[in-house]
Amino acid sequence: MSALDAYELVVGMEVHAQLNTESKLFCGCKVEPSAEANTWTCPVCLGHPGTLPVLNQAAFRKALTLAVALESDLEAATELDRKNYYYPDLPKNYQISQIYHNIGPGGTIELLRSGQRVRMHNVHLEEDAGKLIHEGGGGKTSTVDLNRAGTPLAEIVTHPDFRSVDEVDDYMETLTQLLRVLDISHARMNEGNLRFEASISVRKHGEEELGPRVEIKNLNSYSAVRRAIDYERARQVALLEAGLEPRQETRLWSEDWDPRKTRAGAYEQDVPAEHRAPLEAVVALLPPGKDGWRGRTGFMRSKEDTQDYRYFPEPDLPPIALADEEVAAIRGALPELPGARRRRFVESLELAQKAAEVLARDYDLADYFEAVVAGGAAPSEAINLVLNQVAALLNEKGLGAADCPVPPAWVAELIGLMSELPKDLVLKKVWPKVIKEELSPREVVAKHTIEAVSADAIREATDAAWAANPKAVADILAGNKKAAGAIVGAVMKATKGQAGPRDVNARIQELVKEAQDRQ
Amino acid sequence: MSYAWESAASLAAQVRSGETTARALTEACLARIEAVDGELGCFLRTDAEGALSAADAIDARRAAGEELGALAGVPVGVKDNLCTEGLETTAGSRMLRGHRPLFDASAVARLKAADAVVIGKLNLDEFGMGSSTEHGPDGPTRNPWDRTRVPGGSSGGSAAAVAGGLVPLSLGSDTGGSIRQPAALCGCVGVKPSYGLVSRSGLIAFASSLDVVGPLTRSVADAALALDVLVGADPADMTTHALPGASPAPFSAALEGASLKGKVLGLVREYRELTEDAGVWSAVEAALDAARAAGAEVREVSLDLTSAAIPTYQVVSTAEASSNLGRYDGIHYGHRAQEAGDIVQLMSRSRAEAFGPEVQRRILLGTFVLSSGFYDAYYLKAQKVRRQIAAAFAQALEGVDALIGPTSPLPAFKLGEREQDPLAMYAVDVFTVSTNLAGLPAISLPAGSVSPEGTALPVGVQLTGRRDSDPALLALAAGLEAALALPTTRPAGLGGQA
Repeated sequence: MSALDAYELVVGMEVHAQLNTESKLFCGCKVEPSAEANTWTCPVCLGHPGTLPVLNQAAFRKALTLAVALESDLEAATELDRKNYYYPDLPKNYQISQIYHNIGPGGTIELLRSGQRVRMHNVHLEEDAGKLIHEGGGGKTSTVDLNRAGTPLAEIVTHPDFRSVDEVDDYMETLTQLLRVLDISHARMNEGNLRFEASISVRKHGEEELGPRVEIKNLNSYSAVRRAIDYERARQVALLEAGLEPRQETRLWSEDWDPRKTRAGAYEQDVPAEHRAPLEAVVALLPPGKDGWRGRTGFMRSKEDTQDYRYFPEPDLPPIALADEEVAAIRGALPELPGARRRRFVESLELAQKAAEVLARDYDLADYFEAVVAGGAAPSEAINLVLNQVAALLNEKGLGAADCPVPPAWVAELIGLMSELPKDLVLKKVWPKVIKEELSPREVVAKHTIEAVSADAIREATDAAWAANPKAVADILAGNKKAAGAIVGAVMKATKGQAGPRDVNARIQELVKEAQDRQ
Repeated sequence: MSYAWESAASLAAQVRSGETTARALTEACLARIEAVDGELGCFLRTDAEGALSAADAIDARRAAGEELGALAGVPVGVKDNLCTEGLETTAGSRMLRGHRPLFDASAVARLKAADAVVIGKLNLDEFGMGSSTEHGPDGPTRNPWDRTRVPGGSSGGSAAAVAGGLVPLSLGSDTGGSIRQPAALCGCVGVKPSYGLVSRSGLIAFASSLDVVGPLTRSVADAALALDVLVGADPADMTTHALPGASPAPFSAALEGASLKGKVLGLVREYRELTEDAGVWSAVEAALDAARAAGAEVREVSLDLTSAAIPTYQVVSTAEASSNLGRYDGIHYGHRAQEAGDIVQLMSRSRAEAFGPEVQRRILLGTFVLSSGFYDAYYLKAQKVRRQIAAAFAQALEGVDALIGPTSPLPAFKLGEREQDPLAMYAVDVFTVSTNLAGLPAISLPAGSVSPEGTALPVGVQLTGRRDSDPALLALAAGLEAALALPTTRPAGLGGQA
């Protein structure tokens, strides 16, 4: 058993999700972070004297919808608070956020793959800060872009319920899908819509008490989250194995760093020289990344440096009562959530876990699939058609399932045809024409008089081709399997492509056997 | 001719009827400020160009047959913590020197929409923090009745300008008494409306949960005229709401036929002991006699949390101020320190250089009471006491139409007198801060005078009503004003008869 296996990993996640509203949280400025710097600003988001925040009701409703979907323990009213700290990208030098009466305290989420339930700590609403741009070249100038200042965010915080990187991965995927399904956030990590932070500690298996938690920031991709957790776990295990206690602190993930290629001297101050070798040894036990091991966490600030944010209730915004009817209306309008949908696909439709996962990840494709089933197709057959033929078609056309040019009813009809005609015939002859001619499968069959060739006719045609192609036959008998293609081609030509290749091949095998028996 | 002592209502009527023009009023007002404000120091700046062009536009609209607003052509002064679009607004601080707001405060916009003419910006204690209007970077404002004395504060410029006949109407803001106390010390009418009735949008925040914008005038009727314009829900301020059951001009309507007959006034028992000046209490008693003579009943009531009001106010107001003033850091606008090595130094030096000592004191205090480990003991406890104060008011107001007492425990004090003793300065707010904590409407109106050194100094009496009962409170005040029937006197040496 390796050192890593002796310890249990404990992870909690914090996610900042940018809400996909038209305008900012407290003013009418458009949310357009990529626009030319400081073009989407106004006195309110610039924090000018005398300005007051006006709550964006759409943003509030989105955050409340998320809280309802996460089964939060809603209070009778929710309040906004001020988080005070000085930073040049924060125009008011306080952020309007929540701490005392969050929009969504508690709650749970059912993970998409495992079905495991994770406890939520809270969901709250807050405004984003602007961006500081440090001019390069060692210059002392920094500039501020406040286009992002005031953008609505939902901060989503879990309890430390994750015990493996796979569970975290499952959570990130579930949450991403959930945000999209609820139309709360575009949830595109590469566009900065989602920002993850992980709180990590380790403890000996069986121990009750949690170790000191280390918060990791600057995680800019799903893969960075996974690798940062792996690395941080190794670092903490190495410290513990060396008889040291990890400190409660905040660390930054840095992407381009490879401990196996870096001299030990490049370790920063917080990894004492005598522990570098043990850390290396533990890091070596980690699953390697795709491009080899890269990235590490580095010290940012200790618990003692933690700022005192002097939170207090935001006096410019009155408490917001959560009316039971409003909450009930939101709850009633919730779509089926990713975890539940996957569970239904597995349990009621008896789909394989993997297929159900894939479907629960793409809601439109899952809707399409369900429409095919509703059209009378067996789920097991519908899933194959949807994940293969339909997915390939969408991929080729660059379309989402909601815009599929072939209606699901036609796919159901196609599946129905497969009980009447050879499957190959349906898929290779009928389906391409359904797409190309925009006709239903039965219309295609009628128009092109596609019909199954009888077993006798196939036998006859194959025998005729066998007799007519002595060279191919000789090659086949000499062991060249590819030579059978000539026979099959001839049969197809004779039957106008309506013979099942499998039936033709079966007859060829019989003929081969007969010929060999004669020899 | 001089319009200096005419009421806003009369001036507006004359402009509407064509008897005079907005331009004539504006020119006369600017000339008077030019003539006498050197002595008083009310205006930090006037906007002759903007005022005259606004006046001409009003006159042109009248000439075109348009109906003019309730404040047609009336010159108004605006406390300099209310934003005026394009017109420098400093909140009396070095920090905002040169700051030209991009928008009008909602209260200013409403006055303009009623065809008032904004003449200029009025002096105040820095960011509204003070009770004397004497420490600002632009010098003190002097009390029109005795130029060696303070006008009160923080709306000292607003009160002195009205009392000195510079404008018939000004806007002030009241966080702990900042409209009512200077109104009392200068001998004019000052109204602090119920919290949430007048928009704070464009008011440079001191303590958001306490700040209220209100009018200062020379009569209750003019205050009512202004409140008809100022009161109303504002989408730009989520803490506002409409006056319940309001008709188009609820204040003026409430004043029609107003009388004290059958009204019950509650005299707050605890106020007697807290009144420093015996003459002030005598003036209150004289007002009670006048009220009784006019048919009112006076009952003694108890408001036993009065002594807790100032410490509670200090915690709540400084906590909010420490956060509200965080934005002034020299980064995006305002004063920026010239020599700073890094960003922290830049921010702290900018703040240290531009904020006056009182502002710095309150920021430090507010930062302390919100800090981790002290939040529960100070801020949370203060909020609890605040709720108890509101409950105590509700109880004291049971069965009475309004509470009555002095506005200030003493008349105008000498410039510099309380400068070195912040606690003595805070104590002058003893009768006013609790109404801000409770969100109630209150009005100060003149109730005679005292003459400690031979010079008559005004005394104000304060009426406090139930939340959102502001028109009824103004009606009571109008009744009391009529019952008192004070002789018309003018401050000496400012034109008009002394």
